[in-house]
Amino acid sequence: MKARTAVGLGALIGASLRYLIVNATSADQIWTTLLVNLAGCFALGLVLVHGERYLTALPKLQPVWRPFLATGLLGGFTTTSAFAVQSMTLLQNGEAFKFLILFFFSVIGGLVVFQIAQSIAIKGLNK
Amino acid sequence: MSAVFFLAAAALGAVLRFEIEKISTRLLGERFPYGTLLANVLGSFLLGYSLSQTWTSGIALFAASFCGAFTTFGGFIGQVHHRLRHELEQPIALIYIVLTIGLSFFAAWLGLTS
Repeated sequence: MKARTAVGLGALIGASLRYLIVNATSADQIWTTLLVNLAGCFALGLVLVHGERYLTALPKLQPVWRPFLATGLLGGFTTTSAFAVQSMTLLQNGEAFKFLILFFFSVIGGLVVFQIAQSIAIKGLNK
Repeated sequence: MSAVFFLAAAALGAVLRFEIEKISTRLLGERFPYGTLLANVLGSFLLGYSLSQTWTSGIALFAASFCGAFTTFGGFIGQVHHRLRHELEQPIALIYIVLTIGLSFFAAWLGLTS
C-alpha cells in the first residue's frame, strides 16, 4: 500500500470518529473540539512511541504505519480549523474568559497530555 | 449521500496535507514544519469563510469536513513537543507555536468576516 492511500484510509476513520463524538452530545462544540484535540494528542503520544518500537520493525508496515495512524487517523481526528474559528467567534461575542480557557487548555493542555502519553508509553516499553 | 461527501472531503483534506508536508520537507528541509503550518492556516481561513457564506448544506458539509481533516492539532502539538526536547530547537518551537496560533486565528477571523 502506498503511504498516500494509508493517509486517506486513516482520515476516513479519524474524521468519522470526530464527527460521532461532536454529534453525540448537545454540549457546546467548543468543549467537544477541545476534548477531541486533547484525546488525539494523548493517542498520538502513545502511538508514536509504540509504533517506533513495534511497527517500524515490520517491513510491510514500516512505510505505512505512521502515515496511517499519525498523519491520517489522528491528524484527521484532531483539528486546528475548528479551534481557530471557535476561538475567534468567542472573541467576537466578547466571551474573553471562555476564549482564554479554551486557548490555555488546548495549547498547554495538548503539550502536557502528549508528554504524559509518551512517558506512559516509554514506561510500558521498559517493563 | 452526505456521508459520502463527508468521507471524500476528509480523505482529500488529509492526503493534501500529507502531500504539502512532503513537498515542504523536500524543498525547505525538516527544521521547521512549513507544510503543516500552511495547511492549518489555509484550513482555518476556509472554515471561517465557509461559515460566512450562504452555501448549500452539501457544499458547506464538504468544506467543514475537508478543513477538519486538512488541519491538524495533534500533528502541530507533536511537532512542537519534538522540538522542545532539544535545547537548540526550543526557539524554533516557540516561533512555530506563535506562527501557527497567530496566523490560524487571523485567517479564521479573516474568513469569518469576509
